[in-house]
Amino acid sequence: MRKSLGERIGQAGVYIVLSAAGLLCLLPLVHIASMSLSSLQAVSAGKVTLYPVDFSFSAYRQLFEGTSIVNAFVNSVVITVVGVALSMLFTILAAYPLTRSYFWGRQAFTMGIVFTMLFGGGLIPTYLTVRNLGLIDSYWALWLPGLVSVFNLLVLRSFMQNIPEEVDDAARIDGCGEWRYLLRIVLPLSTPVLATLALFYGVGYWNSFFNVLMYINTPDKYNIAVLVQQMIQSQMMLAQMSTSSSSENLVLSPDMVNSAAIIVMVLPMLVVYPFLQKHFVKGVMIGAVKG
Amino acid sequence: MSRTWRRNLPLLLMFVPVILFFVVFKYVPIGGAIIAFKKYNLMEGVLHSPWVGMDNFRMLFSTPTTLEIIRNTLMLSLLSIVVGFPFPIVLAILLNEVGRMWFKRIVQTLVYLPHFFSWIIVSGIIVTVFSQQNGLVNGIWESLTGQSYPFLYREGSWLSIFVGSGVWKEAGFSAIIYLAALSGIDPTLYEAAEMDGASRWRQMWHVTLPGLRVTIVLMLILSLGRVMEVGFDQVYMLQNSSVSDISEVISTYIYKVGLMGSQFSLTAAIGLFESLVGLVLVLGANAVAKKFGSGLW
Amino acid sequence: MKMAKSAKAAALAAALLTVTVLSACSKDEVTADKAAKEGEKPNLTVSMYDRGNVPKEMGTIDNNRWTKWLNENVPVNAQYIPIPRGESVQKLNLLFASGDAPDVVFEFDTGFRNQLYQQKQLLPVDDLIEKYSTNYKELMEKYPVMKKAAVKPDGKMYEFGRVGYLTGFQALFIRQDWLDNLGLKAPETAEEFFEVAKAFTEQDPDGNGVNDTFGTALSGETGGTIGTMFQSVGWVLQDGKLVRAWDQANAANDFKKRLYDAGTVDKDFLADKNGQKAQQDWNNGKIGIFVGRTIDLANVGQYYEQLKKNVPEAEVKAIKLPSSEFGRFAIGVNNPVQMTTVINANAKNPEAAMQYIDFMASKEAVDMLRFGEEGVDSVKGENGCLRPIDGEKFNQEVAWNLDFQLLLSRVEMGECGSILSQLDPSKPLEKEFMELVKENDEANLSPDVEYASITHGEHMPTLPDDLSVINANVSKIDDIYNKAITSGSAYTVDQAYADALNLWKKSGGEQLETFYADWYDTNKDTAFLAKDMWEFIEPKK
Repeated sequence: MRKSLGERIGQAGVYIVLSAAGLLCLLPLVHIASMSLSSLQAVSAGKVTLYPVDFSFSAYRQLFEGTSIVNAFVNSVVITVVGVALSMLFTILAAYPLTRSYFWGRQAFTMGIVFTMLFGGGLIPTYLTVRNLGLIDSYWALWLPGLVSVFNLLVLRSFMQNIPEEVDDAARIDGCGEWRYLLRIVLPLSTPVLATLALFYGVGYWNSFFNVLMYINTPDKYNIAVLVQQMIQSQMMLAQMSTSSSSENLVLSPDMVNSAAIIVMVLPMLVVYPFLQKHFVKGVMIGAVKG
Repeated sequence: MSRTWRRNLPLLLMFVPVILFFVVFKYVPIGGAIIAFKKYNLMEGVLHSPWVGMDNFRMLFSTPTTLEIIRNTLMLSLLSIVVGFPFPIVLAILLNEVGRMWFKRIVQTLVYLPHFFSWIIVSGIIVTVFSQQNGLVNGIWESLTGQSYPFLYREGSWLSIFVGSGVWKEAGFSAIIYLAALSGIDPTLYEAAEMDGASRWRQMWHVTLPGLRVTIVLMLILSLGRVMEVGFDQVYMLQNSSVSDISEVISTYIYKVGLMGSQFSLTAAIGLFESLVGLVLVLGANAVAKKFGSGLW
Repeated sequence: MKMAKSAKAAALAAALLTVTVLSACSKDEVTADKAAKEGEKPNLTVSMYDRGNVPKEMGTIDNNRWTKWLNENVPVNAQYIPIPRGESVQKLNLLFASGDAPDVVFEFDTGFRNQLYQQKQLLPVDDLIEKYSTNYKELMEKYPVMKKAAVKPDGKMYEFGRVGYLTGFQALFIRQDWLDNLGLKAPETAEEFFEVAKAFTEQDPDGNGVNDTFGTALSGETGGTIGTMFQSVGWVLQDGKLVRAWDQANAANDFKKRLYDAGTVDKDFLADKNGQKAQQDWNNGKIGIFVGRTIDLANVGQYYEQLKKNVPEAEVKAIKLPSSEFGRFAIGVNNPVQMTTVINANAKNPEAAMQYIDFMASKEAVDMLRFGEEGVDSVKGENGCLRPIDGEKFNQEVAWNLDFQLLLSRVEMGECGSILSQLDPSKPLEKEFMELVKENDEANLSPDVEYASITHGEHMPTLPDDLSVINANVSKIDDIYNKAITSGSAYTVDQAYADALNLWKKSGGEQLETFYADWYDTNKDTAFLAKDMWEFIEPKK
């Protein structure tokens, strides 16, 4: 179909606005990347803007040499992958029954769950619970207390409720049981939102920092977020730990390590996102209705 | 009877682990909130610390600054919601209008990036851009007006920067959920609209937006539940002395008080108060939403 | 029974907790007993800051060369509990709340240690020192004033610490080359300070033809020091009474406002919260008067080397803080008696804890932890002090054990404890910095300057809970004054003072006044005050 002039102008406007927005978000990343790739002199003199000055890998060398960053990276992956799997499982198990109109106590359960979103006991009681279950210093202490995010649960429930009733009716006529209906129909129809929630959980687990510091006591089990944070702090603390006079020691500034750390932390998230975007295909529903 | 039982049994089986989770990890710790009515100390613990009734709340509400702090919290938070809420929706809709997949993918990924920058970084960027001495914006401003303007130190411009930076940082990430919702819209609806000769604009209005309605309402209710928790980092990193009359919020206040001693009970009292406000707002918003058929329960 | 009546639901939840708490506790005891039987040495748990700075090859903070060395030499079997440095108070709170806290706790935060005391989590140590200590007891006999710092309101000692000589900590650096270029001399009074700052701003002191210099800074430590110049330090002595320093605050902020209005400081100082921007400007040779530090080797790089790299002709002096109508004050000195260590009230074996602490304070541990093994990690230099053989290797092997040195008393090291002994006079840069260190000691410790505050912040009393809330509420007064500095004629310091006073009264500031006045009245003879600090000046040879 031919497009009217107005529509073409509208289209052009969309592209311009989005390009501007994209650029506005890209510039800081370019700046951060440049900082991480410049020399200390250039960074501390404030000379670095949008390209590296006195190109140098020293910040990354500092991050990767002499620290257990590889180990921490593996830990992060374990925490994230297992955490996402567990959280998704429980979120689905929680959301699906709540979409069924005939589920006993549906309303009461929903209220009870929303209540926990608003009220909490604070750090100490949660810690005591985790401790009394013997979970301190194990990753279960990271996975279990935040297993189901009420926010994500409500989002998933809302999307599942969006599945047309005809689909439900058709499945019933076929004699589909709850489990089969969930696995064969509801979940495949919910891939976009499942991908979204997996991303939300994943980002949360990947960035988890405070919980790791509180619940994990063995430095070997730290994740990359903690390692990176400590690195930045110890860079600031360098003042106290150097014993030979600085010149050779002080090749980095906290800014540089911080920049490099951001790049290292963000990169995996950047790589993962496009894979999830693939699941945001239009019209997941129609196939189901027709088939 | 037996039919409903048969239908409920598998659902219950699914739900039992979920109940267990909420009881053990949510409801048991919530019991700890009773320290809001006690004078908690480490020696005697949650159970045996002495009761003090409403003393902590009295202490909280008897200080002259408390009302100002609550007002600031509500103002910053509501402003962020009112101004910021439409952005992810608009962004998602605009991305939806893009035909070229590669362009859509790239923009989508770029706008998602700022979510991963900490507020320390963002505040550094903001100072670079808006500072009075050498700021980028002031460079332009000065060449136009011949004078510099203290963007960071006037309440009006600071508020705009505060809200704007929040939008910049989170709009792309929040848009994901709407993008997911968009994929649930039946394409035949667009085809039908096009047959009827509806313009893109009208399609957006009559097909896209209704398709997002449920998600929009849900997001609105959930964000109201969090009204009292303006992000600590954002306020803490962006605030400065000149704007402290409007920038001191509950979380930064707790931080200040906490620095001077571990005020467990007072903190718990504040937390309880925040929760109550959140509860009232969620109940209210939900009641309204229910009238339009999309409440939480 | 009573409890269930008062709050059924809460009690139910809590009961669940108790059951699990009890079972968990009994389990712990069993394992502890078993372990005690197996080894001969008693077991001891010790907190250790974890900064993530242990090189991978050296192991982890709880298991490395130094933990091994210590366990070979201490009569206890110490097990280390890593405490993340950035979140140490949070983590220790959780450990104490759950009864899992280590027997020996190292913590810098005085407020937190006092809170542990108030909540009865600490063990009084007078008897322990008497019975089981040799090294620490000796140190206390040598410096009886240490006791003042360790005693809590009930009259018993609860803390252990480390003792160092009193030295200049912060330094007021000035660009001597700029002074020479403009034919000025270093300021002796606040008024001269203002004139010099103004000249540094307006008369192109670096001669580059561009108007791109600042006289001084108001952010970071420089801003704080300008306050100190007017004794604006919160609480001051007046006619033998400890009172709030209102006049001082007004004078200081008036002065800062003048500096701001004259354009001698960066207009964005309020956005420069930790003074990083000012530091950057100093290093780039854009600031004339700036406060840095001369306490540690790393300060050479931080405040001097970078400046010299960017501006080779720069010449720096460390000068005395100019005088004001309130007197002439020290810029900033270290805390010569720093309390760092406490014993958990629930420690199963206090004797073992004391033995551990005693060893950590011994000369043997001091030398070993500070310099590593003689002949392997360090050798004696010309001045007779140990010095790393190979800087890089030393950093890898020894330098990071900093947090094992929390009981390391520098007085025990004599001259070798000072930064001067660590600088190398054969390197021009370090030789110049040695001069700055000496100048700064003179500026801070000479007889004609006094300490602006009654004592170092770490020896001030900790406020009770309700007063600390008031204190937090009145902290907004700083913002009010800052606003006056930046608002020109629209909001003067006088107006700010009126508003501040109003807030003070409304918030119950009088209660703070009573608290501090009473505290000083009752404790002026027993508290660790400035005159006690000045006893720790290194004796001249």
